[in-house]
Amino acid sequence: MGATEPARDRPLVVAVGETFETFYAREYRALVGLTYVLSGSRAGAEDLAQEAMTATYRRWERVSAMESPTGYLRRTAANLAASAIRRRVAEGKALLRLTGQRATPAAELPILPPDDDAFWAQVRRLPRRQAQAVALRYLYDCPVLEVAEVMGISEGAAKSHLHRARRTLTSVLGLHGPGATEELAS
Amino acid sequence: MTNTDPFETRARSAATAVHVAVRGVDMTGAVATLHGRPSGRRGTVVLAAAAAVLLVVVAAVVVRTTRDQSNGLPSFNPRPLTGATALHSQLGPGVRFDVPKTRFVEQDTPGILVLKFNDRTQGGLIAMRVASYPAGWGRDLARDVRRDNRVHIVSASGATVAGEPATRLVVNPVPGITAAPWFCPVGGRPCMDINATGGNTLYVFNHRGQRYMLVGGSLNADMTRAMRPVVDGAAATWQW
Repeated sequence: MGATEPARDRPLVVAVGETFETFYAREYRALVGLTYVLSGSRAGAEDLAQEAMTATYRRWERVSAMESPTGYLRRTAANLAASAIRRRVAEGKALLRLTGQRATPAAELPILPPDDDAFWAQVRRLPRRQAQAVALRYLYDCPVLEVAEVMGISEGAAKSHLHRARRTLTSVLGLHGPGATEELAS
Repeated sequence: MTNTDPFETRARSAATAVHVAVRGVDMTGAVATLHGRPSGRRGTVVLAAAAAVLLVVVAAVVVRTTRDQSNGLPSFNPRPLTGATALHSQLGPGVRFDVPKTRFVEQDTPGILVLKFNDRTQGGLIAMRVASYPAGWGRDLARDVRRDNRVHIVSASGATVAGEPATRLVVNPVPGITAAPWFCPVGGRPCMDINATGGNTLYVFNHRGQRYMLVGGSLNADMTRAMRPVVDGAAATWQW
């Protein structure tokens, strides 16, 4: 079968010797998680993740030479998710205007326990940059500096987004406690 | 941040739940993206769907082509041709055609320009400045053709020839008029016969007080049909 395998004209090698195939296998599922928490749609999340992967694959030669191909991929996916939300809101408004009916969300798999689902639902209600910062921080367990790099902003700005997001989420989810107080004080 | 921080605990729990949830995500898409072609059962379904769409498109094209031929309506859709060379003809004020490199112009006079193409033994594109017309001598050539009792007007519609308002006429000869010389804009020189089986498409228009006609010149329906792709593809640009 070796001779009949699809041959690549050029090996897709990352700077550290990683092929796109390996990169895809490593990142894809977590990427679906990111697009899911940001878009709120499981079915749409897979489409968005595929779209981000495809965009990365098209520019792989350039992306693979970057310091962090993963950062590029996550930023692309986060932006696509934001666009998808804007599109969905606009479509919902148009439907309401035309028919007087609100759009009914398509049936999706209830994939998260209710408490966790509620957490991400509140995250999606945050301003876009704050939501992205929280998703990157906790989903990927990223240090603040890495959150800033992925989002293409300064570390201070990332800290600010996270701080505001945390304050809002703590309030709406009723998560006041000693740790929260410490964090806010810092 | 401490382990007892309720926010941190909740956020990390929510993140863990997401990671657990996406463990079951299908990676089939990875195969399609990486290899550029579908595979497996899903691939078969995709290929079948693609084949069905292709079939519908081909069928639509065939139906449209067949219908056009049955109506015998050759079309004229001038568009620039890549690699063409400009020909500044003697016809009219500043008439220009872009002639493909592989073709040649056979005849060019101040009154008539015939483009014959070397990959066609008969037929060509004829552009004429019409000096006279048997059915009348009005300023409106389209109206003169309409009044010509030798032809039946199948359709008349507005058109544009390189920005000039034009009339597109499709004419058939009336019974008894078969392949007779229809009219000749330059003296008594034979120049154009009407197509006896129909499908004569003419573009007539005025420019600076002169009357012009653009037509695919051919002698019968077969030649008209053979002519059509040439007219469509090689009529090139009519510029003033």
